[in-house]
Amino acid sequence: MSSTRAKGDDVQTLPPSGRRKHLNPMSVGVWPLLFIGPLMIGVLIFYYYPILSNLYTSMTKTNAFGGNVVFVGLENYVDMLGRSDLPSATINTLFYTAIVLLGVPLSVVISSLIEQQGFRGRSFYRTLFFMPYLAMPMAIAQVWKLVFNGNFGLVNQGLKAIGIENPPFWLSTPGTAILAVALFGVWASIGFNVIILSAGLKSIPAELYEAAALDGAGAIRQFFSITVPLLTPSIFLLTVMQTIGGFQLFDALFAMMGSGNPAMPQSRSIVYLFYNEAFLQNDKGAGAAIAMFILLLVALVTVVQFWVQKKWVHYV
Amino acid sequence: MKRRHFLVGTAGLGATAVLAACGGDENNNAGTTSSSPTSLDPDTEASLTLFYWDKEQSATVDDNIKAFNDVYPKITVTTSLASYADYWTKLRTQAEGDELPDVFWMNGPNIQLYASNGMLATLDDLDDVDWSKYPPALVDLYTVDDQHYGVPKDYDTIACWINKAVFDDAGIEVPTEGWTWDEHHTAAKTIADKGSFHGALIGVASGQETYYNTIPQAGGYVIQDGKSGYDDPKTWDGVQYLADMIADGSVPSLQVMSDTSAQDLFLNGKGGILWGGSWSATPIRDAFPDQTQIVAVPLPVGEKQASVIHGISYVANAKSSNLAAAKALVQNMTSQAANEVEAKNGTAIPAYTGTQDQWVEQAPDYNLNIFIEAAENYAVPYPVSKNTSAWASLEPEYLNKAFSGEMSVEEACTALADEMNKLLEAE
Repeated sequence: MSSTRAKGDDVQTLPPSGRRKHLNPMSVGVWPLLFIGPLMIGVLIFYYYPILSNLYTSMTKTNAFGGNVVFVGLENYVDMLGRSDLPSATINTLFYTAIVLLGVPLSVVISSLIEQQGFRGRSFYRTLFFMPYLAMPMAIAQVWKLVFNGNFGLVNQGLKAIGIENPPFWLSTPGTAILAVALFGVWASIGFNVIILSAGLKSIPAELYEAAALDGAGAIRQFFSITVPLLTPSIFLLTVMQTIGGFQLFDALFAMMGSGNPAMPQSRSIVYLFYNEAFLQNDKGAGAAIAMFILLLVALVTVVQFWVQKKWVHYV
Repeated sequence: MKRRHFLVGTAGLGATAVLAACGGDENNNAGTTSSSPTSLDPDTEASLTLFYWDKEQSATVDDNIKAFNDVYPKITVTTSLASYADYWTKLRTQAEGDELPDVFWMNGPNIQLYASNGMLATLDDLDDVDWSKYPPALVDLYTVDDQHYGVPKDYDTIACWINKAVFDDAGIEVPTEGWTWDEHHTAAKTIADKGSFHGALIGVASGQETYYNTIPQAGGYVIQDGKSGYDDPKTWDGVQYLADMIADGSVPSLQVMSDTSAQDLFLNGKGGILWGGSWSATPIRDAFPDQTQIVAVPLPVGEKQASVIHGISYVANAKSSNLAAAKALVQNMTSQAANEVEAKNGTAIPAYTGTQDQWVEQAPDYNLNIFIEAAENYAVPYPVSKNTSAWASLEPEYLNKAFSGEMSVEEACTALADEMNKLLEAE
């Protein structure tokens, strides 16, 4: 399939007809602006303005109420890069994101099982997997806190039942804490992944499977040669979204671990550092600088993802 | 009210504090020029806003506003309510926009931040407030630069909750007032060594129920005159007492109590002693149908007796357009009559001396009176500064290392003192 796809992009960039090149772009008047205007105004006010405002804040020092603004240039950035906890927070965030991304291939398998031809109870399973996505993240984090509870949690009860003595205190041991939060992240992301992938699966023509079956391809072969390649646009979308979500790790970590947790110093995410500066230390400038760091990191990773996708994503 | 995790903080000592204090004085002087509430004309027309965070106390707030309107029928009071976490975010935003409510609730960690930035009106001119009727440590908490900024409405103190069944099981006597650190340690160790229950449940993730008490009991202090007390050897003794008990198993490990709070373990009958606040009375009453099984005993005595006190106060916005009316409302909400309503409706211990009987009588077997005696006789103020949350968030980070044995108490405390002093200087 991939060999026939490679030139597809070039074909699509050609004008659909010869008429188009005679069109004066100005002759359409203000219509395009009117159509995108409402959206752009929202984007400008709620996305671009806060980013610029945050950029300015990151170069100032203020009192706790935002008064006495002093411009300090890059001082907050220098302080941030000198922090001893920034590398570990970055590693924790990347680790969490990597684990959550493992949920994407898992979701591909789950959704293709659900969407099998002739499978009964399809909508039941779709609902079942989508439910966690509808629940409040803070509320389900509380439930998972109990699941991972070291004294009597479900996980440790299970481990004890199969003969493991002294299973770890997942959420209060450095190392396992971030892993436990990431496993929760995988679980919480599957619902959304499955819905997006199910939609993608429906757009794959059934004839392809029929033809493959006639050629003697089994279910596994069909999965890897038809399902996965044709799902790559959805997989790519999810990868980008889950990466961005992963970099924003805070609420699950905070809800599951709590502030006095002995493992917290080793388990902080970058957003946790932001929370600490902006809301506990009341240093808005320092908090804003960390927020800019997160933005740059996300932007960089996303640009790389869009660049790399040309090599593996197949658009029909 | 229990205030265990103060997520929201404070700002400014040192050089900036001087500036901030000047700003504050200007506003406050503007406020004090208005007439004293006692002379407020009953026909005064005004509309006031009142902001608070505890839904459980809505009945009390509403009843007390009704009483206020009996005297000042032409003053309309509009209340608004937010959850505790949202409350401080909203208040901060309103303060930044100069749109604070006229009257609102304040807690210890935030009082200095708001008072020193000129957000609050001084209440020294409230002639009808008899400050001696409130626990002195609590009045101190709301006194900034020798001026009163808040009138206490309720309070909590810390004591030991005893599960008598666990003591019986271990074959030891239920302790009584005046027991010492050693006696407490021995009792906890005896219970823990027997293996069926935890000894003392002391949740060191939060200072309020734990080291904020043992530190003053050892003769040390957390903060004084803008300096950290964590480099004082007496403070180390207070921390060491807890670290020793964790090390020998008298107190369960940090991990056990991080996953399940000390109070939850106690409520499930897993331990003999809980270091807890007066706020635990209601959940304990709900968890143990047999009231005679539980009794509250004062915290053990170290070098001295101490229990940390915290409470909420009513404050008035310095920039209120109806400041005289706002102050009259503060006075009304904290009067003896208002505290009696508070006692009747339950929840927290009312702050006004002599109105606490109803709270004490909710569970006669618990001997709840010891919480009141602690407030009146040996309570120490909750440690705060202008940017409390900045250093308070560091306490668990360093002290946990001492409690888990990763560092010696002296090392951990000295490192904490260094960091804390840096932050205090930056205030």
